[in-house]
Amino acid sequence: MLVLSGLLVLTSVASLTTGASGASLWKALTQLVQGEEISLRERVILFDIRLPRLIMGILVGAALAVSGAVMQGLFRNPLADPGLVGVGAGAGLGAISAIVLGSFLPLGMQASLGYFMVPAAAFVGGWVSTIVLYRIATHRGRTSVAVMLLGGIALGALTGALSGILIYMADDSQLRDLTFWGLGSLAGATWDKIWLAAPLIMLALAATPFLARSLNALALGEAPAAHLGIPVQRMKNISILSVAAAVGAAVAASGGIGFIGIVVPHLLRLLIGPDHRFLLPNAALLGAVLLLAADMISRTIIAPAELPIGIVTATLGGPFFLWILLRNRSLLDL
Amino acid sequence: MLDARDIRVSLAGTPVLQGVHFRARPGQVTTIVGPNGSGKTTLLRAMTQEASYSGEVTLDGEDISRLPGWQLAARRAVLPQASRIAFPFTVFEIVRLGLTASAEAAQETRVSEALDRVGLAGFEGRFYQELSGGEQQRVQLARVLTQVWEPIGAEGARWLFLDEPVSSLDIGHQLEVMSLLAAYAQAGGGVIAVMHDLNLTAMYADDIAILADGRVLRQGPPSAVLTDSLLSEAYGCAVRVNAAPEGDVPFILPHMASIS
Repeated sequence: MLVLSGLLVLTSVASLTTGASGASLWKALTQLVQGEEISLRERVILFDIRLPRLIMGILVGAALAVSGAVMQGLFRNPLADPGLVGVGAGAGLGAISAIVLGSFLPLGMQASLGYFMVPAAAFVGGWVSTIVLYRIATHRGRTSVAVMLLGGIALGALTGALSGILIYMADDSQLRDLTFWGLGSLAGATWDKIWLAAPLIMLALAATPFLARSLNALALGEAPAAHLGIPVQRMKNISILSVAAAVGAAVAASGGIGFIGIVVPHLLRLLIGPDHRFLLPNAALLGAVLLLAADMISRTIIAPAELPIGIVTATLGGPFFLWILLRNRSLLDL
Repeated sequence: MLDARDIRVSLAGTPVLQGVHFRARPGQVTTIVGPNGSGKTTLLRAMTQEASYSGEVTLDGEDISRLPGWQLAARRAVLPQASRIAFPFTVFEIVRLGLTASAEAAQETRVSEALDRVGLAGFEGRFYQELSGGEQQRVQLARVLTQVWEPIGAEGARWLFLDEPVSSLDIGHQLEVMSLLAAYAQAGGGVIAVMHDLNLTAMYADDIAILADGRVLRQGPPSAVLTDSLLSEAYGCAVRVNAAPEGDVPFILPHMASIS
């Protein structure tokens, strides 16, 4: 945990000082720390571009990784992931609906919702698809893993089709906005977006420490967890609400960034074991570190242009995930 | 005292329990026996609220459906028949879960103590998933024991509910576990176990309920329940109760030639 905190500080500094502008911001940063004046240009890059991007990266990385860990604990399945079980797709559909259909709302409503509309729609979309999937997979109080995964595929296809219809209806400027969702990027990070996403993500993350013991007990199964005095239904509701809030806000802020939610908890279980009391806080740290690292790669690899971060996480995360699967086939026990 | 009155359970429209009366006293090992499909496990599941039932189950006079989960967890631990674990937890971490639900403020050394009692000393660091079925069953028993370690707590007798606790154990460990349960009852705790093995039941039970077709045929001491006619009626085959050469513990042998 200490190691990860240190790593997060290091990547944060590195993230602040790398970028397309090529400016020697390391110098600016040291000047700033020493209390010296820095130029306006450096100040703008640091505080209005890099810093919001850094904070958004930390928030989104932590949100995705912790949500993944919670989903896996809740479904008792190491393959559950906000992306794989359709939460991300639902949130994406919500966001796309808001972008494309938002202009059909009465102007007064548009004005009052303003910036809130897209994240709120993403939040609702993620929440609804989570609840629907959970209902489908739960029969007589027992959640079937196979039904959950297959249902997630079906639900993903359905939301994909609905998103497709909306994309078909979209005009050019909306299409540009939509592309952003599909690939995911931290490039659009602004202070406004942080003020919207941060409270939701922080609230969801703050709830998770209370879930740790329950998630550990739930690994035994729902009935044994109940016999250990765990209020199973209540903790399920809190988990689902937290995941939907965190993922909804993360997707609203940065689009669909895959594999953080599945790779981070896996990696940590290999390193420190499956105890959720340690898994959840470490997942927040490692998720933030990995997303910042991926963001730096996406910013520098084809500089001055940017590769969408979703491409980076999928390119690195996909093979890594396969490697974990092949190595631990015996321990997965599906 | 655990008292279950007029318990009815239907699964998918089929009545499985049809008005079962069952009671168990602390200080005794009470077993539930009967043929496959007679409703043994369903009765245990109803009494532990895993199956929805009509009727009433009281623990020391209190309706269990009105007690909050954490209070029940302090007084009663439940051993499932077989358990698969979702993640690669170690034996220590599994047993420790019982400790977190316990009403007692115990040290983590209790985990090793419990493992020692079930004959798994030194297994703390092993992965649960890599153990044999019998070892997994004993790890679960250790977990359940740590949850209600002292047979009598401030709130009264503590209870162990066990669904076939020795089903995947060899004969040595069967005797070890049954003796452990008998000692728990001797010290004032309540033990309710669904059993398949009639001979182990004969050796260790103080009170036996025999089920057939969703009804209790009879509940009483072994001498009243383990009779040729009752067992033959319940299991639908001819069995004969014999007496061991030493002591008066009965044993049951099936008589192949006379299966009707």
